[in-house]
Amino acid sequence: MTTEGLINHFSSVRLRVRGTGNLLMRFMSLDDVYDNVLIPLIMIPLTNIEPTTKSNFTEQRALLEIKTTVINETFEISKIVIYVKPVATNYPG
Amino acid sequence: MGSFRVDPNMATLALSTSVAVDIWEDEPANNYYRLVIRGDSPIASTARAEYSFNSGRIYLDGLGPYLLSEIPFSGILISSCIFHTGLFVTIDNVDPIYCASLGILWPNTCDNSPLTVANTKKTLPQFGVALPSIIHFLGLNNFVGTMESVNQSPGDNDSIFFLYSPTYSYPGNGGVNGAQLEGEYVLWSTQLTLTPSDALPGDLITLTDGANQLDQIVSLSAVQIDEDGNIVEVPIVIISQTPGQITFNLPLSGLLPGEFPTAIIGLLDGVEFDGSVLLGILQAIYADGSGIYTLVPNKTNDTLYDRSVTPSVTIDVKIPNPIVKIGLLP
Repeated sequence: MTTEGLINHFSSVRLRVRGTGNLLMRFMSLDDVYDNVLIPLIMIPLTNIEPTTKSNFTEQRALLEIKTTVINETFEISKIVIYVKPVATNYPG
Repeated sequence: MGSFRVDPNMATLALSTSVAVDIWEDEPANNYYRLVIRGDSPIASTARAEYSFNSGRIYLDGLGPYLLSEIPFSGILISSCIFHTGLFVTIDNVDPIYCASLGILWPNTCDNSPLTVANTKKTLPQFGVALPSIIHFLGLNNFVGTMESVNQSPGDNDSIFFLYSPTYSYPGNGGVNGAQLEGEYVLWSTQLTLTPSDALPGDLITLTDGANQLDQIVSLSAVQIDEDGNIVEVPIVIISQTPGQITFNLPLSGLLPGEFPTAIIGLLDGVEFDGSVLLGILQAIYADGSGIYTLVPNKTNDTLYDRSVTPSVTIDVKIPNPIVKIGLLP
């Protein structure tokens, strides 16, 4: 069974991230037609946890945008895990 | 306004008849020369005195002597001038009716109308010849130079020639004593307006002069003095120049960053003493005009110069939205 064209549910993101400020995240569909803004992640410079942030975004394909928007906010990401599960086979043409 | 005096380097007197002529150095310390006809020789009907002037013997307000090149940061304009010939004659026997004409033989462009002096006294005092204004007909540099032969023809540009023509021949003494060129000078200054008073590198600056003398400036430079007292001078390219206005750009590079006042200096040439004149002060609100971006470790923002306020300050701004976008999944 091919995964091409499957409709997926993007359910959460787990990051290994260190920094200061709020890390803004959102999923974006193809051509940014739809998006799903995640709850901002409050970063700390040193941490022993890799927090998981929930999402609820169903699309065939999606990308994750991560950014900060306030002065002197920094982030350092060393790992990104995105949980995805197929929920449908295709869109009828 | 001040007074100036230029002493001759040497003077000679030429006579048409053979008489004893000698040069006495009356005041060796001051390099003061005196030309005297000795004895009771008859003075010829025509004599010619020749002077040359030394570029190192300029006195300003009684101080000096200066070299012309030593006159600093002053645009000096000769506003009036009198040439004291120092000619003197002592008549031994009778009280003659004495006339002498004095004409400037060189340069040909000057006023050649003879000046007549009549004096019935036995001793003809030193008399002055009022020159209308040196600047009108003669550059001062034409006065300086080494003394040339007295027999050379007028027209050489090293000396000034005078014709000394007594009406009668008579026994007596005569000569040249302490010729001087003196008068008044003014500092070349005028009402100048620098617009704007605060400037950024690259700004177009307009310098206006109601007296319409800006055409006498041959070059401009921006001068600053750093914290250590060193002079930083950056040449300025003149964009346009008329007697009433000069426009130029404040140099983009070379000036010191910070709050150093920037003096705009104009260099003069031509009929004035060589020198320079302060045209005005600009407060250069100096950012890093080169646009070089300096990386500072662990710095989490950008620092910019705020040019909207005076004096200039720096402000920290955020780095525009650091962003990560992963590839499309799956």
